Amino acid sequence: MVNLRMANESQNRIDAALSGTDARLPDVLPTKGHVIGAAQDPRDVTKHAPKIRIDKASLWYGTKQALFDVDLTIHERSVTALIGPSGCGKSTLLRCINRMNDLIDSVRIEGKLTLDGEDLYHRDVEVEILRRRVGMVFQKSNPFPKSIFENVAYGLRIQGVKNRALLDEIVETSLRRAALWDEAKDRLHESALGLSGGQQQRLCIARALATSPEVLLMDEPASALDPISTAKIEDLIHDLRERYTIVIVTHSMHQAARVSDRTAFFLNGILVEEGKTDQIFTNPQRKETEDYVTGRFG
Amino acid sequence: MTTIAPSPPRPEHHAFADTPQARARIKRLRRLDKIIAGSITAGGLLIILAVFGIFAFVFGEAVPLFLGSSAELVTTRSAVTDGTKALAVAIDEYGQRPVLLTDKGTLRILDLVGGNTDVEVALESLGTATITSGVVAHESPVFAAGTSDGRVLVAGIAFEPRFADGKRVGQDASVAWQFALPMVDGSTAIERIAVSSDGNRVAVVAAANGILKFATRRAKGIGTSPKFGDAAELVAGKTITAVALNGAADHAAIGFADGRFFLFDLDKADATLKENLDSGSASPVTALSWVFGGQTLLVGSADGRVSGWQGIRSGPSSSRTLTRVREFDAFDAPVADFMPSQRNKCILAAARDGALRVEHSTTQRIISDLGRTGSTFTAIGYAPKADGVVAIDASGTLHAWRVDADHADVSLAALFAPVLYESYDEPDYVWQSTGGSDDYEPKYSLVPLIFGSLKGVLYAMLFSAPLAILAALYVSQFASPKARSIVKPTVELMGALPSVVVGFLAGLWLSPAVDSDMGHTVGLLLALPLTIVLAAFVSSRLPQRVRNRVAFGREVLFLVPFLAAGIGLAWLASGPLEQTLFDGDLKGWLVRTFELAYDPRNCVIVGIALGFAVIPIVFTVAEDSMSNVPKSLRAASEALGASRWQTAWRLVLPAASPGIFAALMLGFGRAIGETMIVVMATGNTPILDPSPFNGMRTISASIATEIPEAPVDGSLYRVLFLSGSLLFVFAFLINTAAEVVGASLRKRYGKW
Ligand SMILES: Nc1ncnc2c1ncn2[C@@H]1O[C@H](COP(=O)(O)OP(=O)(O)OP(=O)(O)O)[C@@H](O)[C@H]1O
Ligand SMILES: [Mg+2]
Repeated sequence: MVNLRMANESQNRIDAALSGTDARLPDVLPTKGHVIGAAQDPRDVTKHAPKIRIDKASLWYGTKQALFDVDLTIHERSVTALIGPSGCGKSTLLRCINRMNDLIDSVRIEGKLTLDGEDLYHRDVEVEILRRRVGMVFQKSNPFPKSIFENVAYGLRIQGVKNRALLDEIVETSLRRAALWDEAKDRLHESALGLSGGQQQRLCIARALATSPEVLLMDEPASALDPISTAKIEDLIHDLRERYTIVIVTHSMHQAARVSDRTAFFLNGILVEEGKTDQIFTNPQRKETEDYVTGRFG
Repeated sequence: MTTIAPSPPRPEHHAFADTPQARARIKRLRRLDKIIAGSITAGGLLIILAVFGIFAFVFGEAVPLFLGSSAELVTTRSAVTDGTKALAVAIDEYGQRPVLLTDKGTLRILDLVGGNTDVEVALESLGTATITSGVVAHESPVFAAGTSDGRVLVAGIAFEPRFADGKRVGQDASVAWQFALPMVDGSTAIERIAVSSDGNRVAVVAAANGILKFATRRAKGIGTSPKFGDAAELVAGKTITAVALNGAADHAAIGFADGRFFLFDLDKADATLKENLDSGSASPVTALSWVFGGQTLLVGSADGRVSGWQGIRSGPSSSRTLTRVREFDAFDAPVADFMPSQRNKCILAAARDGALRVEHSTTQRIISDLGRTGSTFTAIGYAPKADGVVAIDASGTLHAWRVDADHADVSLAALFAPVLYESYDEPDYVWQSTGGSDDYEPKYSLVPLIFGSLKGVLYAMLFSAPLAILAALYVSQFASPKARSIVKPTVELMGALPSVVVGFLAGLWLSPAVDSDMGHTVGLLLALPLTIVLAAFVSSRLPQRVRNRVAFGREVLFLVPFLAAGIGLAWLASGPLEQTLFDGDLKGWLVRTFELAYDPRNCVIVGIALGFAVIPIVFTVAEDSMSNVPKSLRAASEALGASRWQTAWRLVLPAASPGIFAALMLGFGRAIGETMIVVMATGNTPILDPSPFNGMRTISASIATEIPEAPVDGSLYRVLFLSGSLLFVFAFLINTAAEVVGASLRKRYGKW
């Protein structure tokens, strides 16, 4: 039996809270200093267990093929950056992982995608449960027309959490992690639409974190942000990688270099090259990759 | 040597270049902007103006209802001189030729308008006797005078308009016939007298000390021998202070000095005493009169009090007994006389101190206080069209007023408060604008109409709001795009169905069908939701594997077999079930068990029919507002693990709530203004009963059905316009509420 229903540790705590047993959320991770420009401590995440395996994945929008036989393994507690020119299929691949493509008619997928070894597209999979385990931050910020608090609490309320103390706690923790707490704590019950664009994007991150997913998919989370907000989000990714598996789409080579352990370069729906980030940026194996990362692409 | 001057550099073409052409273009654009902005503003203002203009017109038509009545003294002139007293006065329908009965035994015919000189006609056969009392019938100009020798002299006046070239140029008045009735023996003077006549038959009551006599006679022609009745023994030992006869001459009222009065039934061969009543005052009863229609008896006392009495049943099976139900403002002096209007329930009342009032019997309002213009009025008359009043005071001066009391039947109390009408046993809200007879009192309570409108809307909204909103939710959030592209235009097409067709189907097909086949109807009504719930339950129990195999938006097909089975089963089973459980008569059982009044055209029918008008609007607007919730928000919700239902419930509904609210308000407005459907499907019974199993009458239906019959500028006409402006106000309130609530919802849920 496919076991996508099995929840992770944090989910267990939420479930425990739902079933009445007292449970505490994991403590907030201590934030590390800024890492902008700082050389990444080179981690070899391939030793980590594989979390997501993408095996010969092809995808069609109607008759138009957007992904071609993509093979990619994403390891636990790692940050993988997807880079490539616009329209090369990065977002498409990301959406395959939490099955957001299901919402689009006429999408056809071939190949195999697994999460912890379980087939994501098996017909017994409940996508709602899958998406609780695989959170997503979208390219464009999309806060709900609700209060800041309700935005962050949304995922929990969906799961039926009513315990006010637990909600308060998780909302605060999530906002802190998304580096929004200080700006939002006095206006938690005001509309989220009153926040600035950068704040809205961090709110969306907090919203995704609140349900404690195992995997976090981030589609250009900082594309609309100023350098300071971007730095905050990068810090956040840096913190989160100890606990979450993160896949991030970015157009910023610097960002990819700063935050990711591994980088995958896509071109026209084809995975051209994948490897350790520093290797991709300093010593790419393929000409297209080199052209792209050095900015000669075009 | 010539040098060729270099040509000046051509100005570079740049959008912001400050060239004359650019400036001219910008100027042109600005002007265009201004013109367009100006015309749009003007158009909007015009529309607002037009709406207010319409309201002003509609309400303006109703305003005269509330302007009250006016009375204007138009003539004061000497009518009789030399100490002659006028005993009674009659006037023609143009208020032109008053005829006075004097205590000298003459009829004086005056002319208030034309130049005719006064004519004095002596009563025939007075002989040597003197006049001791005199009255005029209320319904027609027939005088009766009691004589010192125990006779009653009766004279009928004929008013005849005089025409020249097809135009009325004057009014002739003459004494048409006279006769004498010997009532008692020749030595007793008639002290109190009352007469009633339809112009042909004459009835007289004559009283003197220890004597009470009744007589009827045809005025002229064959069969003129009078019939007499006697009730002297019933009043033996009592002092008669007032007498009255009703218009049908089948009842007489006799008042006594001790404050009591009798009601006699004259229908039988002998007058029978029907009721012996206490006027509520110990002072003598000084004036008695029936109000137009003969249902309400006015009793005036020497202490100035005036009360109205009508037959009231104390229980459902008991017979009516005369009961004091109205109390009018008391006079300061003994009540002298009453003269009822022959058009409505107004009454002219005079007191000995010269006070003279027009009062409205049903609502006990003083319509006009004519004040104390002279000494005691000895004769008062009401113009046949109820548009004028004449009174002659003790000094022989005649006063004539023009009275404008066209809308005396209408007052705020009559429109909005319960009113005790004649032949009702308790105050009630009644809308019944026309009746079978001339003396019918129109009843204009708007409460049943407002209630009916709101009730119809309520049931329509109860039926259609959940259907329309859930349908909108389904179509916008769950249906496949293909289904949506079919369903939406179809429902919108439903709105194009002429409401007269919907009303026709509801009134002439659905309501009899439901009425005759209650069992199947109720069976289906129960089975439909049950099967849907059952199907939903079963589908939720299906393994994920099966559910995932159903394509997006196709889940609804799952319902089809369930619905088919449910409907079929309900149809087959409800017949036998009705037979065994309710003896084959569910309707009868319902009516008996819940003591319901069941009308075939009831709120369930109206709800369904009006729902047809309401659903398309509510559905369309709600569906639009739900599909307008951005896809990105729904994606965010689903990415957080929300199911489609959770997304719909927790995200889409709140985010679309301003639009949904607006949709409901639009539907409300549509329902309350809807006319054809309610005319045909409601039964139009103006009752105040919240039960869903009977009908109602709405404001719009009343307007539609009654305005063609309402005389222009009459009370009904104006009351209908008033109800129209009420509809207007409703619409205004609804829109304002929609705006206010919508704004606060938008503020709360914001825009995206
Ligand atoms: N819903 C859709 N229907 C049809 N085609 C689509 C859809 N979404 C994406 N595509 C196509 O698939 C291809 C890959 O798109 P995708 O959004 O994955 O690119 P991307 O790498 O994320 O680009 P960007 O960096 O600009 O976000 C593009 O050619 C795009 O036009
Ligand atoms: Mg993209």
